Amino acid sequence: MAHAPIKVCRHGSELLAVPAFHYHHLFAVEINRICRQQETRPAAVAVELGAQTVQAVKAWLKELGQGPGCQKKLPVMIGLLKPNNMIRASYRQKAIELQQKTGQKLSQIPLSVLHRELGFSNSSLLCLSPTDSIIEAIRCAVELDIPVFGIDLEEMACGIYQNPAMIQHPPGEAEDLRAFINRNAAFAAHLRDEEIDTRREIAMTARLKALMRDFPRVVFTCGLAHWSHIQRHLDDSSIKPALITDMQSHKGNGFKRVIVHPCIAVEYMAYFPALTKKYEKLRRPAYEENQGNILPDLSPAYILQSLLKKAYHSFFINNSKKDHHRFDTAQDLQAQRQFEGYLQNLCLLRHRIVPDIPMIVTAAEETMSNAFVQTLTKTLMAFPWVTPLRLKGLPIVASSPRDQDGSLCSVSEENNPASQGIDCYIYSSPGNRRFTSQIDYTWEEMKNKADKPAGKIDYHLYTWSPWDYLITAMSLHAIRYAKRKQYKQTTDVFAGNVFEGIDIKASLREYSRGKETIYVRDSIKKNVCDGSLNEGGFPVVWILKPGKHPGAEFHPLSAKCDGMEKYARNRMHFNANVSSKSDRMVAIVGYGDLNIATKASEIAPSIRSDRYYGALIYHPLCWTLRQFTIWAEVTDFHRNPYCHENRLLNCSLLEAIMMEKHGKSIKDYDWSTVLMFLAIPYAKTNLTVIAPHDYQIDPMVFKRAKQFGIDVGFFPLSGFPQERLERIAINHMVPVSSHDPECIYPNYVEKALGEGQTDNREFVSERVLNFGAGLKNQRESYF
Amino acid sequence: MRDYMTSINRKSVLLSRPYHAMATSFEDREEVIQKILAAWIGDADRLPLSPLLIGEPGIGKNRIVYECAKICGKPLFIFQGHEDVTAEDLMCAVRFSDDPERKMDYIVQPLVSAMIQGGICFIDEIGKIRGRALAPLASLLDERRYIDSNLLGERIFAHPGFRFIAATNTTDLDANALPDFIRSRICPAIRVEYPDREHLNRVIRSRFPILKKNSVKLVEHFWTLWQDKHGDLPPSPRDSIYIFGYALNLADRDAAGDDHANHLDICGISNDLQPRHLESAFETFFQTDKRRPEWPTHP
Repeated sequence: MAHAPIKVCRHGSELLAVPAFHYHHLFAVEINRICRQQETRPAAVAVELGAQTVQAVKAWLKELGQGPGCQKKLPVMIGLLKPNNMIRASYRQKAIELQQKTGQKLSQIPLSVLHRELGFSNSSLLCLSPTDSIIEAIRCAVELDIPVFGIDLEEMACGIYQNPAMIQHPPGEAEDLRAFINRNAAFAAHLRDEEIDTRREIAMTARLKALMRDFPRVVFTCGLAHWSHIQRHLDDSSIKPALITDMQSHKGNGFKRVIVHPCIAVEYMAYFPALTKKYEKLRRPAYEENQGNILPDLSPAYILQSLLKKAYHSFFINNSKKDHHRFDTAQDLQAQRQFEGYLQNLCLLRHRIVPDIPMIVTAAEETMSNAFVQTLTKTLMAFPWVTPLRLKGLPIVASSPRDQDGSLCSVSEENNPASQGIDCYIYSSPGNRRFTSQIDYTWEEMKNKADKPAGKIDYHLYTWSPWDYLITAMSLHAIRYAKRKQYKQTTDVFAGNVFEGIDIKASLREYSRGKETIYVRDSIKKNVCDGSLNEGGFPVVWILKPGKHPGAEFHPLSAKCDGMEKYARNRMHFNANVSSKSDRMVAIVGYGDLNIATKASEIAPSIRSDRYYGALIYHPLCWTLRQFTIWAEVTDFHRNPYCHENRLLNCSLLEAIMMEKHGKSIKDYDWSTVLMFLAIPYAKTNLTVIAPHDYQIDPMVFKRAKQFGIDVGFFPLSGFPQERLERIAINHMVPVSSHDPECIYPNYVEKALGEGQTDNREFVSERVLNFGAGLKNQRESYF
Repeated sequence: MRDYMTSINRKSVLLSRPYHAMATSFEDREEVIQKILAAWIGDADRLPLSPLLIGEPGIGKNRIVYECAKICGKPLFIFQGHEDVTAEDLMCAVRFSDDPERKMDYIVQPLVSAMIQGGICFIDEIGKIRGRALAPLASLLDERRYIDSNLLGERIFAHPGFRFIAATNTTDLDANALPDFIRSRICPAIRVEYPDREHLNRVIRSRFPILKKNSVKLVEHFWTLWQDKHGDLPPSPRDSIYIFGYALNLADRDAAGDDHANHLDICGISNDLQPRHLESAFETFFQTDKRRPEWPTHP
């Protein structure tokens, strides 16, 4: 590390500049060092942020207990959200055309269209990352009680930052930081967004000149990409010092304080959270003069090594004791070397010394088992993340489930972190990084806090019959037209390959006709539809939105068996099975966000709305209690899981099924694969999966299905209209007036949901609706 | 032909020919290319890995492999996988010789040719090959680095420069999971995603420079038509190239007039692609979708 910072002298004042890699700890350390040392301690600090933003950060830092004589850790990760109204100037014509085309003003056009067509984001987010040089500079100014200035433009359109140049990642502590900056500033300058950054750099230079006039020593930090231009402008006499408004007493109104979800937060930290933790531990406040160098203890390579060691230990040592993990463990032991080598090579090609979390997790996903990836992610993400409980119920910014390009986030309501939140397009300031959550991580602390509100007990609510009709009809349609890969036996004339052996019958037949032709047997896998399948094609697994959904959970729904007894044809048999298998028949396992805010739940608070990303349906849902009983009997109680009701509440049933039938834990697989695993043991001959056309079913599902003798059929979601798919994704759990023999709902439910009780019934065929009519002695006719 | 002859333990064999991809501009995909190259870095102590590309048809998996071969400067040997491939098909075949002094010729397949020449072997559609046919790869892709050919009666060792890559469509893996002994040897499994809108626009513009004049307008029109038909489902580069190619042919036909409309050599005579040509191309391309059973509006 260089101990002589970059210095620019003008009119008896000196500017100490730290052009930085945003969020990289080396530059934060350098700022801290400059501010701590008596000979370089500044009279003012300037940063690449707007003036109001800096004052908002400063005010918040003070409230958090930062200041002269206070040594407090910064909660991680907090952020400031600010509304944005700017669109790039070059999109002016396009914006006019868009208004002409749609006949609407820009303010009336949906945000998604504005984002897609004009690259517009309606908010910007500043993450207060302790390892960012800008945040460190403001922190030091607060600790030294010296003025801090935001010299950038306050508002700007979202920048487009290409990645044309490969920049070497900052060096370790041994290398000269100044040499690194000189070597890479020109490359970094290629990343600039000419249209937006040119104006910003001129404004920053003019303000810097003004500050250098007023203060004898100014410390300045900005992105590395801007430095070469600012340096040039500083020598340009045509750029005059600007007038700087005194904002020191400004409180920074108009900003929303938020907590940033860990999955997003890691993108704004150096390498991995453990490094930030260590930085906070070793960091000395700016008012404390100390010559000690903390960098040797902040070696990312060393920290990564110990994190990997920890992950290996917890996976290989702990899992080797569990029988069901032995297979994964053995395979991962073989692949461990490949994983490390691959990661090392990736670093080499990306000019990095140490990989960051997304790189490590992606490399692990591509070489190791899911179970290992989960252990590794958990180890890398272990960090004391700040929660709303600690910060007066601040809203949480998380990646939206509807995000497609890494810029759609959802901001939860204040004091209600479990709420669905409002979607908004966000760009990060500075740097405009993406908000895509690249890692599958469950924020355990929040998961526990976001429990369902007390008093709403699921099993007193019932599914809404129009939803039942719709999902049943759509499932049956998919069963009928699902493509199933099946082996078909074929016989061909021998042409050099005997395939599965000589077809003696066919060869003899030909011989008897006087032809000496040899035939061979072969079996070819073909995609076929089995239009004759109906209820036999259940269970059906719906994968509506594959991928990671932080906060989503499994939610089994069931029918109570004690009300079914009176409809049983053989009560003794029924009671024997039900008592041995427990008193609830599971009909659906949903996966999604429970208790989301919808219009219906606002009108009628007794209605609970769940958003499903996937669901498993064991049988048609649109039946009466009598029909459920018949189903249970004709399938000999083998087509649904049965359990006691207390096991439904904490999902222990699902874990038990996974463990008992597959020797795996729910945590070992992605949720969509878990749904299929939960379905396989209860299928008769077929399992139907409905998913996006590019969804890839885990090979393990086929393996297990084969072992159970089950065919897996696939039907693409695109086979259904989008509005129907959106409708089935929302499951309203509603109160009923009576549920025997069928659910009758109070009128207010119909009004709140805007649907009639019998809506969608027409989609279900009479044959299914009349299931079990006069069945008394026709057990075989169904299956 | 002589250039393609070599000998294995004094047995003369004919080598397969490497594939030289057409030189077209290649857009983005640096991340996937980096991953492949990272997998291929290796030496005697640390074996190079054999990546598997997984993605939808037409998404550009093959183009990525061609680009990687170009970057490495190695000959690329492609083996097309299908359901009837046997283990021996992967290695060697025999044919009656054209040389009157010889009865039979051994022809070593792309895999063995790449092994001998230190090139890249690319098995396309590996998901379509039956598990048992892939057995010879087991010894090749681990530290043994050889295969045994029954037909040749020889053990063939791979050149140190030999590299391997395979690709499969997502749906093939769904139906026919690769056997464990192959899965553990073919890694990393790299997913190739649909390119984003900007990327695809660049692909179209670079592939059809003839559109220069009104490319922005036409590309916008393409997206409108696509979204009407498919909603948020993205098009693959292959879909986009075919649609624009066909629309240009329609424009050529219009420009040629009735007298020459049926001639096949009118390609490129027009650079006046109109939105209506794109619309007709969409109409023709997506007629086949009508075969899919409709969701019933009423039973």
